[in-house]
Amino acid sequence: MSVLKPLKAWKHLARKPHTIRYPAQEHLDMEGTRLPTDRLRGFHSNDLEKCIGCRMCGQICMNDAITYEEIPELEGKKGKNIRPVVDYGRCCFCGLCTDICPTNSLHLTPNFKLVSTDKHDYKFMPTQLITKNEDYEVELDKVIFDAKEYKEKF
Amino acid sequence: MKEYELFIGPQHPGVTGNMMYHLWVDGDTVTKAECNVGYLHRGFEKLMESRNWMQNVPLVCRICVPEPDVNEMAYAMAVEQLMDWEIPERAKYIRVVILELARIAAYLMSIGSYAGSLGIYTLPQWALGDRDYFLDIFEQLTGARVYHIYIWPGGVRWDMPEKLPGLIEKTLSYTEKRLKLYDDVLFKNRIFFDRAVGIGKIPKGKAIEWGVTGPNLRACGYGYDIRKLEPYAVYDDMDFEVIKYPELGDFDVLSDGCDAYTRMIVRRLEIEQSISIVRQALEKMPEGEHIIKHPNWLKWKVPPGYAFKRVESSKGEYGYFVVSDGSNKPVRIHVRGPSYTHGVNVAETILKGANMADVSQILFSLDVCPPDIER
Amino acid sequence: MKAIEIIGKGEEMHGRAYIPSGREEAGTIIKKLKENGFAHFVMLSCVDWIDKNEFELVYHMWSYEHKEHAMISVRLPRDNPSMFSMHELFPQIETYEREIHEMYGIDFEGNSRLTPFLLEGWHDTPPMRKDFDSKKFAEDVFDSIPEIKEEEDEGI
Repeated sequence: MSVLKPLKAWKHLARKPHTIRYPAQEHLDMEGTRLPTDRLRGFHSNDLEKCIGCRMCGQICMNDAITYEEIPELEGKKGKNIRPVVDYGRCCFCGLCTDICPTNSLHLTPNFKLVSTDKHDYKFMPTQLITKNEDYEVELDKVIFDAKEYKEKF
Repeated sequence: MKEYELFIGPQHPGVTGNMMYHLWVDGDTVTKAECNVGYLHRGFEKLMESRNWMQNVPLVCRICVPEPDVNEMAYAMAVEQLMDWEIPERAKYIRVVILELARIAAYLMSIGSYAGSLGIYTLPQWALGDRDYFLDIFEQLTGARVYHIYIWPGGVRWDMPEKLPGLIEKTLSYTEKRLKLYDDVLFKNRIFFDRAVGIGKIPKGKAIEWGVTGPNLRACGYGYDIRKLEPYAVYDDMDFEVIKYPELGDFDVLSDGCDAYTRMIVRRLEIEQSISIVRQALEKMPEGEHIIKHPNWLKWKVPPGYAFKRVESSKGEYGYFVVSDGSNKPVRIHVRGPSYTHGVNVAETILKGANMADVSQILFSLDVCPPDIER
Repeated sequence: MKAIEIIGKGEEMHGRAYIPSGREEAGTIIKKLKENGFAHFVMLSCVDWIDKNEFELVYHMWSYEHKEHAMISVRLPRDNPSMFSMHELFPQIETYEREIHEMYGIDFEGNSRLTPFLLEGWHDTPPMRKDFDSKKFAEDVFDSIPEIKEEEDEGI
C-alpha cells in the first residue's frame, strides 16, 4: 500500500480521451470498423410487391405496434391489398416480426436517426426504398403516410 | 440527544438506484433503518401471463439493466426443461462467451460506483469508459448495445460473425492492462484501507440463514458458486477457480472477512477468472448448428409442469420459477432476484449502529439493485 | 432423492423433489429439512388456480451439501385464505409474506409487519389474482385523461 501510487493517474493528462465528438468524428471500434454494423436493429423496410398481407407480423407483435391499411391500386399476390403500418412510439425494435415473415419481405435496416417536432411523423408504412443510408438517417420522402401517395411514388 | 428521521430519497447519488431508505438517526449513529421500494414496479409478472411463450422473450431482458443476459438465460433454460430439449454444442459455447462478457461489464460498473461512494471520482469515469468497449462487442454480435434479445429457448438467435474473436481478444488484453491502474488508484490505496476494513460485517454463522448469495457469500468464507455446484451450459468443461475469503491472491488479508473490503477484493479477482473463461471458450468452440427448429410461434404449447432454474449472476443467485398447464401462455412466472434478500432484510439489520457516513458505502458494497426487488 | 427420504413422501419432477403437504404439517416439514442440510431458503411463490378454486403456496429450499432442490407445496381454499408465518425459521420470509399478502390477499398469522410493500394507496382487488383485468384497468384510468391540444406556435 502506498500514499503516492494513486498519483500515477496524472499521466492521463497526456493521453487522448475516450470521447468521440459525434457526429463530426466517426464512431469506430477498437479495430477500426465503422459502427454501427449491418446487424443493428433499426427502422423497418418492407418490399410492397413481395408482401402478401398475411398479418402474421401484427399477431406476433406484443406491443400492438403494427396495424394495417389498404392500398387499392396495388396488385398483390393472392389478391390481398393490405400492408403494415408501424407505430414507432410503441415499437421496441426486437425484430420478431421479421423472423416470422413468411416471404422475407420485412426486415430491419441499420438506420436509427429520425428527428422531428411533429408526432405524426412517427407512424408510417415502410417501403422498399428505405435502405442503408450513409448517415443512418430515415428519409421521410421514401415512406407512405397515406394510401393516396402510392400512385405518385411507384 | 434528539432523534432525527432522515429520508435518503429515490433520487440520490448515495443510493444504488431508485429506492428510498428511511433512517432514524441519533447524533451520528443510525438506530433503525427501513427500506422503501416501489418506484420501479412495472408489473412484469402480470404482463407475462397474457403473452405467449415467444412474446415473453423481449420482455424478460428488461428486468435488470446492468446485466440483462442472465434473465434471458434463466428463462430459456426453464422453458427447455419443460419441453425436454437438448440444445446443440456450439450454442452452449456461444452462451458462455456472452454471459461472461456481460459479467465483466457488470463488475466494472459495480466497482466504479463503489469508488464513487467513497469519494474517489476518477474511477467511475474510467470504469464506464472501459465498459463501452464491451458494448461495442455486443452491438456487432447481437444487434443492440444493452437489451440483447439473443439467448432464445433452443439456442442463440444468430451465429457469431467471422472477425469477432479477434476483437474480443483485443478488448480483453486492453482490460487486463487497465486493471493494474485500478489497483494503484483504488485497491492498494491508503484511503480504501482506512475506510473499508471492518465496515458492514455480516456474522459468518448466519450468512446462509439470512439468504446471502454470490460474491457476498464467498467473501464470508464459503466457496459456493452455482457454476460449480449445478453446472449449466458448458461450465463443467471450463477450468477456473472459486475465489473465497482467505485466499485473496496478491492482496493483503486485513480483517476477519465478510466486510466491505473483502467483498470488493473478491469482485476484482473474479474479473480475471472471467477473462480466462472467455479465452478458453473461444478456443474450444466446435462447428455446428446454433438453434433448434422452433414450432409455429403463434400455436406453440408447452407441456404442463413446474420448472425452476438458477443462474449465477454478478450480484448473486438469480432464479426463475415457471409453471405451465399445457396451453400457449404461462400460468405463473416468478422471478427471484438476489437483491430481494440483500437490500431489504440484510441491509436493515446491518445498518443498525453504523455511522452516517458509511451508509452509502455499505449499500454499494452489497451491490443492491432495485429492479430485482420490484421487477 | 435425499429430501424424499427424509420426509417420507413426494415425487421427483425434472430433477427436483416435489413434496405436497397439508396446511398444519408444513411448519414441521420445513423445520426438519432445515436441520438436515437444507439450509438455504430460496423463495416463496404463490400460484392462482382459478379453475380449481384454490391458491398454491410453494416453498423452495436448496441444500449445499446434497446439491438438491426441494419444493414444498400447500393448497389453500380461495375464499378466506390464511396460513401460518414461518419467519422465526428464516428472517427473509417476512418480506415474501408481505408481498404475497399485498398481491394475492392471503393472510399470514404471526407476521406483524404486513404493511404495503410495493403499491401505495391501493384499494382495489389484489392485483395478481386472475380475476383482476389489467387491460381494463389501464383503459379506465389512463384513457379517461383528456388529450391536451397543443396550440400553434410561431418559432420559439
